[in-house]
Amino acid sequence: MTNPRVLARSRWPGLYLQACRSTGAVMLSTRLREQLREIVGAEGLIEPYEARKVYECDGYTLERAVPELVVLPASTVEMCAVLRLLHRAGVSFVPRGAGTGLSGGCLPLEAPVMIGTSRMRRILEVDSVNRRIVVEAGVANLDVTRAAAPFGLHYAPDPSSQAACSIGGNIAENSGGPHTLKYGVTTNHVLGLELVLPDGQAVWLGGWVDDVPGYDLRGFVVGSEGTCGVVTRAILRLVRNPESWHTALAVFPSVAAATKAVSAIIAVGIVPAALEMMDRLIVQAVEQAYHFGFPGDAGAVLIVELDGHPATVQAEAKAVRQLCLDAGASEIRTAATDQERAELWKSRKRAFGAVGRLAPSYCTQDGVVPRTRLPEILQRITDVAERYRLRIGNVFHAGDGNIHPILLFDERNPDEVQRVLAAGREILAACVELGGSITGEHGVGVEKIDQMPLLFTPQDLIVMQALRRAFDPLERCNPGKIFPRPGGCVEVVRPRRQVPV
Amino acid sequence: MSVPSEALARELAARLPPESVCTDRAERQRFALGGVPPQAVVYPSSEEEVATAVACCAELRAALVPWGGGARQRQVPPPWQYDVALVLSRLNRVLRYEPDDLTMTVQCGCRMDSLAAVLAARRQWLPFDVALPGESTVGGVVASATVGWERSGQLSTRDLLLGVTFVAGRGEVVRGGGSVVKNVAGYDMMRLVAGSWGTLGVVTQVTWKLLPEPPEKAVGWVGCRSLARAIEQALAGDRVRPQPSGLAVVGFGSGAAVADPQRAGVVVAYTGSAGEVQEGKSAFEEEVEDVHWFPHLGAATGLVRRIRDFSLVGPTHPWAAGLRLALLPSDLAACVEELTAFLDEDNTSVCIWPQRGTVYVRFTEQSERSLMRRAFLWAAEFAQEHRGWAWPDWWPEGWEFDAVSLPHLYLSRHIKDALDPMGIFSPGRYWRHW
Repeated sequence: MTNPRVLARSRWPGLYLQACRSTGAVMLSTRLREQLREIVGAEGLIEPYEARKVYECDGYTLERAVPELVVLPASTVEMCAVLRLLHRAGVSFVPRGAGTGLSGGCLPLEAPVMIGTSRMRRILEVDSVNRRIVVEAGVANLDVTRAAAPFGLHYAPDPSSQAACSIGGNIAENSGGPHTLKYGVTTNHVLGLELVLPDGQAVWLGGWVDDVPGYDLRGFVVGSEGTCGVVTRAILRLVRNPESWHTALAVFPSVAAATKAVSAIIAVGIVPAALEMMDRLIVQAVEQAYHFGFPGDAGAVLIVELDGHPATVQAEAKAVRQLCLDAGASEIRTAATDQERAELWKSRKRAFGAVGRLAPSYCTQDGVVPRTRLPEILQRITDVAERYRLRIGNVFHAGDGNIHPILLFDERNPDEVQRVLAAGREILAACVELGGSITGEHGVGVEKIDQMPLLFTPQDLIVMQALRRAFDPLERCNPGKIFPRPGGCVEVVRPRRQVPV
Repeated sequence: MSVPSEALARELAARLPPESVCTDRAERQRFALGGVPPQAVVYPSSEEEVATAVACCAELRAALVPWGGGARQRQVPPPWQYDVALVLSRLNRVLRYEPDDLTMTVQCGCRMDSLAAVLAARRQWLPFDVALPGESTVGGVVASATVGWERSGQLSTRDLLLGVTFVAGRGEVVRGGGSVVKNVAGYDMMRLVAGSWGTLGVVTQVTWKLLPEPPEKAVGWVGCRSLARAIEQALAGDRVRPQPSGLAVVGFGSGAAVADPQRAGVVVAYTGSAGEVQEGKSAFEEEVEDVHWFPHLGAATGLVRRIRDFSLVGPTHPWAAGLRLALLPSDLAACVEELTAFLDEDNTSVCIWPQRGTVYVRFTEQSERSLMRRAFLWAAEFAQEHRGWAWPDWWPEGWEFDAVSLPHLYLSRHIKDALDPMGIFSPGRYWRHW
C-alpha cells in the first residue's frame, strides 16, 4: 500500500500518477513476483505488509511510504538478474543500504520495488600490504575497520551511524563523519566499485589502483544517492592507525569565543582530526542528563582531537591549548587514556540522547558555511529562533563549518510545526547566502529537493539530469530524488527526524 | 573534416571582440597539434566570451581544443579535427582567496607558480607539486587531473577540487560543487571534469581546498646500482614510521643524469614538525642504506624539480614518447624486473612513485621505435595481469597505438554525449573515434 498521506500531499500530477502506479497490484504481477522469487529465493523476498513496513523510511522519518515489495539479492549475479527482470518489466526501484540515511534517499516514493543489500555482507579480501579491502555493499562501516584492525589499519570515514550503516549506503551518500576534517569523506577512500546498472548490467568503475585512465565515473557515482544504479562491491582504501592521539575538551563562555578558537586553530596551520562543538542549550541538556561536570554557565564546549606522529601531536596540542585559552576557554580537559578519551567523546555522542529530554520532538538540519562564517550563521540561527519563537540547539562539526541546528518542538502543536519548517528553510537559505551549502553530509534525498535551486541554476540541474541518464536512461533507479520538479515534489508538513549526526 | 576557415573566422569575429580572435598564420602555428595548426585562435577575456566561442563552434560544428599553458598537450593524442584553439591565458585572476577557510577560487588561466607564490605568503599550499608550474595553468592541471609525488601519493587534483564552473557543449555555463570544504549537494561534477582532457567542456574557474604548508621538510637521496635495488629500498623505506611524505625512484638515463655514475636511486622527503622530520630521517636510515640528506632544501631543488617535472620533460631533451602504468605498490618490483629485461638503458628513463604505484617510462628520440612499441604492448599486458592499468601518456608524433584500451567506454560515450552533444570538444583525444 502506498502511503495515502504522500499521495494527498503531492502537488505534482505526474508524481500522483506514478505513485498510483506504484500501488503494486497492477504493476507487480504474480508472474513477476514468482520470477523474482526464483532468482533470490524465498528468503530474499519480503512480501507481508508488516515486514515491508520496516522499510517505509530511513532516518528521515517525516515521509513514509511502504514499498510494494522488498527484494534482497545475495550476490552480484542475483542483483543483475533482478534488475534485468525489472528493466524488462518497466518497473522502477529504490536501492537501500541499512536505512540510516537522513534525507529520505531510500524512500520508495515513486517506485514499487525496494532493492536491499542486507544479504551482501561478505568481506571478500583484505590486502594489508597495499592497504586495500574488498567488501560487499551490505557490510557495515564499522566491520570494515574491524577487519582491518589486526593489521594496524582502519577505514577512515566514520559516520555516527557507523555500527549500522552500510558501505553501499556510504557510497551513495558520500558519507562523512567527525574525522573527515583530516581524512576526507567516502569518495577519498573508494578506489573502485561494482555498479549494477538499471538494465542489469554490472560494470566495475575505478579499480585497485589509484590512477585509472578515462573519466572518473567512480567519482561521479559516489554521492549520486543511488540514482545511477546499485553498488554491489567496493574496493576501499585503508589507512594506517595514527601513532598517537590527543583529545581535549575545552569549555567556553560563549559560542563566539569557541568559534574564535576554531578559526585560530585552522589559521595557524593545524588540521585536527576532529573539531566538534556543542552550544549552551545542548551542553545544559547533556549536563542534566549525564552529569559530566560542565560549569552551569558554559556557553559552548569544543572537542579537539589531534592525531599523527607523537612529536607533531605534542607540539600541536600545546598550541591548541594556548589558542583555546587565548579565545577565553575557562577549562580544558585532556584525555590521558583510551578510557578518558572515550569519556570525552561520550558527551558529544550522547548529545542527541540528551536533547530528547528537552522536547517531545526535534528536527536536525544539515547546512554548511565557510568556517569563518560560523559566528554569523550561529547568530542568524539565534535570530531565527527568536523570530519563530523556537528553541534551537547546535551540535556541529566546527572544523568543516558543517552545522546541525536542532529545532525543538512539540509535534502536537501544528502551529509550532509550521514554524519549525519555516525556520529550517530560513537557516538553509542563510547558509547559502553566506557562501555555503544546503547539505554537508546528509544528502539531498527528498528532504532538500526544494532547496536545490538555491544552489544551482536550472541549467546546472538540467545538465546533472542529462548525466544521470547516461547511467539510467529511463530514470527508473531511485526516481524522485535530488532534482526538483515543477511545483515541488512533496509538501513537507511535519518534521520529525531524531537520529544522531 | 574541418569547417571552412573563412566562415569560422567571420562568425567568431562577429561575436567576439576583435582582440579575442586571431587568424594570423604564425600565431596559429604556435598552437599546432600533431603538426596541424588550428584555423583560428581565440583568446577569451571572460567566461561569457568562452561561452560565446563555444556556442559559435557548436553551431558551425567546429572542433575546439581548450589551451592552458600547453605543457600537457602531448599527453593525449592530437585531435582528428582541430578548428579553434581556445587559449585561456587571459582568464588569470584569483577571484577569492580565504586563507582562514583554506579555500581559493581562481580562473582557469592562472599559472600554478603564481598561485603557489600567493599561497606561500600565507604558508599554505596546494599539496600536489605539479610538473612545470611556470608553464602550467589551473585549467590544464584540472583537465589532466595531475598528481604529485609528495603527500604519500594520496592527494590528486580531484581530491582538492571543491567546486568547478565549466562551459558545456552548447555554450551553457554549468556549475558543480561550491566553495566549502564539505558539500554533498548534487552530483560530483568536479571529479568528472578533472582528467577529461578538455573533452567534456571548458573549465573556466575552480575552487581549491588548500592545506597549511608543513613547517619542516627534509629531502634525501639514496644512490643504487640498479633500478631493482632502488625499488627494493624505496618499498622498505615506505614501511617505516613515520611514513615518508614523498618517495620517488628514478632510473636509467634520468638516474645517470642525477647522480652519475649510479644508474638509479631513491628520492625521499619528510615533512611535518621538526621532531617528526628528525625522527623520520632516523627511522628511514635504519631501514635504508646510505641515505644522503641534503643540508638544506635549496641544495635539493634540482633533484626535486627533476622528479616533479619528469613526466613532461627529460633531463636534457624533450621526450619522444612515454607510457604510464598504474599498479599496486606490491607489484612494482615485478614490474621493474620485467621492464629492465628489455629496455635500452641509455635512451630510456623511468620514474616511479612507489606510494601511489605510478610508473612513468619515457623514451628519447634515440630510442628505437620497435622497442617503444614492444614496451607499450608489454605494459598493457603486465598491467592487465596485475590489476592495474597502462596507457601511453606522451604521444610520439605521427603514431597511433592499437594497444590503448579504456575502461567502461560506452558509459563514457554517454557522458560525452550529454555534455558535448555536437562532439566539438577535442575530438579523438579521449578515444580515437569520438
